Amino acid sequence: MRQGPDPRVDEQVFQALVEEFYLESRERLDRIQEVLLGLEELAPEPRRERLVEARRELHTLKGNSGMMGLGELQELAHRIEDQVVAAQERGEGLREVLAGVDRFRTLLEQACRGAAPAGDAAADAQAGDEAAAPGAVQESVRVSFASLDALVDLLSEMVIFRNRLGEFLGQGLAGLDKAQRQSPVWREVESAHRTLGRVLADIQGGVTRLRMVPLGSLFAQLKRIVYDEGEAEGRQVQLVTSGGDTPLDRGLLEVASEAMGHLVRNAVVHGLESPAERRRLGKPAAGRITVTAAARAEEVVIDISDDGRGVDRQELLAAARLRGFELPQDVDLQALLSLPGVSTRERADRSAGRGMGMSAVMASVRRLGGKVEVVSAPGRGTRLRLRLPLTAAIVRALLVGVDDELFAVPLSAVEETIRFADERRHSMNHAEVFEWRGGLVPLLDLGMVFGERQAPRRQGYAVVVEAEGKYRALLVDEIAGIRDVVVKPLDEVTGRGAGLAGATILGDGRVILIVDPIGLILLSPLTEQTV
Amino acid sequence: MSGRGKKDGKGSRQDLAGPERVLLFADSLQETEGEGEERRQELETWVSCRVDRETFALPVAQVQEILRVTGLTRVPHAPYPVRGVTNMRGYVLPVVDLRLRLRLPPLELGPRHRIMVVHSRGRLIGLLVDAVDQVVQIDRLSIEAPPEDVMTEQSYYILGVYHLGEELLILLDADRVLEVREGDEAASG
Repeated sequence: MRQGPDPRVDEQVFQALVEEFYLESRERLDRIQEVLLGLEELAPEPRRERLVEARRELHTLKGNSGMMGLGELQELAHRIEDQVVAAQERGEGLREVLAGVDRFRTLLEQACRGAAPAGDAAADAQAGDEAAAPGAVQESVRVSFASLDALVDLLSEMVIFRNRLGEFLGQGLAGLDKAQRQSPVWREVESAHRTLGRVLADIQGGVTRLRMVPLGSLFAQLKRIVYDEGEAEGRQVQLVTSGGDTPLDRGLLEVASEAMGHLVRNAVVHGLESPAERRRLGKPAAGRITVTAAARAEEVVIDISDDGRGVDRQELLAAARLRGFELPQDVDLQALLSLPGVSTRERADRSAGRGMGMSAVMASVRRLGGKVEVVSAPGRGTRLRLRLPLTAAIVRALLVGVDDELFAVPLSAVEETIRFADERRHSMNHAEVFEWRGGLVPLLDLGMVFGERQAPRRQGYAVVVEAEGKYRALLVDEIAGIRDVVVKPLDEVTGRGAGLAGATILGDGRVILIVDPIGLILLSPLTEQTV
Repeated sequence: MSGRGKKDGKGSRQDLAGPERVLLFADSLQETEGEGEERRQELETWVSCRVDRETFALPVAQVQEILRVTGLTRVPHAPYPVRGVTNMRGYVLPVVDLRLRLRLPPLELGPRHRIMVVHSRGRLIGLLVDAVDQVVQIDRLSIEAPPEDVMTEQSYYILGVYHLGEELLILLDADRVLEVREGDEAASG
């Protein structure tokens, strides 16, 4: 309907070029970093080869930057190249080179930001990560995360129609007598409907796999963290990784990357002892950090273990109490680590804020339906286990009815669902609480939180949810079932509704909202009389 | 974005950014077609819709499609102009009610209600209107400033008005209508 040629076409071509340049440069930067790290352990000859490779990549980066008219990047690439040559001759100066690579990365982001195709810049930046997966350079096509998502949307719509078809088919068949039902035509229709379902399920599986990237793409970054932190803290560290081919949903990659990075940094800084101390303890001078990833039936498990000093529960407990948390003597390690601002390191050093970081990591992992577990043996080490769902796109949820509306509550947060009995309800300091497992849990009527209801309902169900070690009993009218739901984000125009994690589309095409237990708890900062 | 202009050194009109180029293109059309004619025209296509006995219009270039309303889910704590979210072929589309945006009382959903799916700031947002009217050609050069009796609250969303025969079209700034600003505090509940 537009008149004349589309003025956006040139723009699109240019943007595509910028995007291509951006993605390719990121791949090259990753490769350079990979080649440079671990150089020290190599014999002179392979070492030389690696440096040559780094120079080759830098040279290409330089040329491409020039072609894109990005003079600053071009010059920087040139300088780094010189530094590599110097490092090659002197056998040192790696730090400067790595710092240069980081600088290049930052400038690249700045130069290309906003050049991502209209739609979803964030998703596209993620697509860049995806492309960085090792071994995925040739014989593959780059697809933006956004276009995959669009496919998933269409597919779920198709599933909905197939279900509707099934419903009407059932109704139609119910109105027929037995002889008619057995007629070849109807049997054909039924069989076609079944086949359609099977094929759809296969496509769904296929598309889900398309969203997967190997976890190993995150390992390079860990090497870098170990190198940096080891230098800064005076630790000798040996990093061992395995299970790099474990597939992980793209939507989880960012949180996984953040969490793994944090946990590994934590292991170097807090877990490992100094080489001198380790020798004194009879341990090898170099500490060992092991990262293993594995896919299980329903989840991806990433273990980050170190052979350091272990977490001192008593010390942590003391720190938490100092911060004003009232805690029983036997509180477990997990709960302690998830408290904001609690750290055994009182010193505000370069790694300040780590204590806060740990609880933030736990929170972001939980939000995606995952968990962080801690096992620690004093003197022998710590194992942090990161448990992530197979996909971020699909969450198992409890459907609850609240005053004629349906909501989905992620099952990972649900502790128990209880038919509501009034005698278990009490009032304390103007707050309603609910008796549960020998303690008291604050009551939260979802109709009051999300709707117009003025007073808590007197009957229905209490859904006890837990997040961040806090509990709430959510009051609802009915439990409408358990469903795997596809999580879709809410646009910011809807205010990213506090207490909401997104929306999903049910089989009948209805949109319902997904409750965010963590947000709900923040939304209702009731006096903590929790268990 | 740095280094943009260096892409082609021809120094031609291609160096201009989007809007200027559209204007330039429109000019070139006028030069060839408008020979001898005194009054210049710059035609644009808009789509009109009705809300509360008034006729509004949005540029067709920004409207992707028009949907019947098949169900709206309320979003708790959403800013007041947001009527809810709806299912657009598997995509969760936020829907802003033009009535609410213009501080008019909302209507119960009826068979003539439509959702105009609008491109705004790189994403899709639905705009709920009482009814969709027609696709119209308007002359850019004949757009008038909004009359002064328009409430200041409304004038922020209005680009101008246009006389289409007997009818007065109120031309909307879609991006402004669909953005959430400070003061668009959550409706109760």
